[in-house]
Amino acid sequence: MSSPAPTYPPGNEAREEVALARRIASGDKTAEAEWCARLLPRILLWCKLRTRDETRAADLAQEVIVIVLEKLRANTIEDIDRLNAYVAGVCRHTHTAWQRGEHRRSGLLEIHASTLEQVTIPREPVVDRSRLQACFDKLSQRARTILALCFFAEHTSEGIALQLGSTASAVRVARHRALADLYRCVEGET
Amino acid sequence: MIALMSIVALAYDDLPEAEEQSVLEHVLGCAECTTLLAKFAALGNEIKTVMSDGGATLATTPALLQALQRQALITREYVLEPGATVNCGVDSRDVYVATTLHTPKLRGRIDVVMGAARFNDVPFDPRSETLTLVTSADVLRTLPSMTVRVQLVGVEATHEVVIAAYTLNHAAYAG
Repeated sequence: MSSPAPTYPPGNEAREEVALARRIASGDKTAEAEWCARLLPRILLWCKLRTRDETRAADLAQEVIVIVLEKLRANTIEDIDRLNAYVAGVCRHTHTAWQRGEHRRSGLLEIHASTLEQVTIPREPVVDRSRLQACFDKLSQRARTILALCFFAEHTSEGIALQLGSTASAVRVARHRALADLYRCVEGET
Repeated sequence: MIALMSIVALAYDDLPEAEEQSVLEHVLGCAECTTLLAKFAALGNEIKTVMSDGGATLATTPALLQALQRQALITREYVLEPGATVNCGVDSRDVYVATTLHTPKLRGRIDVVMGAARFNDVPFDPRSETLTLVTSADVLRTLPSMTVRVQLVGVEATHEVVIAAYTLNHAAYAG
């Protein structure tokens, strides 16, 4: 993957990408690079969140895109208008398979290497750290502790719940609210 | 654009399977939601950095305290029993100062009153009967010499009671 571009593409992406997918399914190889360029960064983002490892995320994302690309070329996707539903399913099932130790398709990755190398990945958003620090100080004590246990100490919701005399679901809800509050503060919405 | 909370839950793998499938399907076809997902991913990483850089002040559990200690971020520690007074300070090398308050009466909601400030519903570990406050040394270095009375207040539905009190004699940073 080459050097980063500034943003994800704007607009009604799903409809445009279905059109590209139909072209791939009809044998139009020129559509493949554009379709990959659109989907791979988004798939990669999800893979990074699930694997917490840049290299594994890149490998997982490439496997997903290759699986979908092969199905498009073979024109065997049942409902191409819901292509992203299919892609989401492949993401999740492939990740689950990897967690079970099942890796595959290294040959297919090599076949598609030239297409994938053309994809540029948007750079990660830059967070204003001093603003984040000020916003973190505005959170409740409980919210700060939960976020620190989650992101610094890397504890699970279950582990955090045990420490705080709470439940895992309550910890997850509190974490989501704290992150949403933090985000709105950092973005200047509060 | 879907609900912000759905994006947050997707970012941190907190959605039930069926819901994750539908939210991920949407995100894959929506640049605005993908950008938001990326921002939340970055936010989590930056929280870790703020903690590692000594930029937070918060109550900790014993496990969180240990995580900070393992990274040599707790550079000064005070442990107080109820009624105790301690002389405390900070120097240029400090990152975090940990103040652990012991009391066997920690249950329910506990507020911490420190001088004129009040912190509501402060987390504590009921198993260890301690409440630990970790303060950024950057903050402490800005404080003048002062005596701070710390009270742990048990808050019930109809009343509240001071369950323990401690005194910190803070010496201003001399640097």
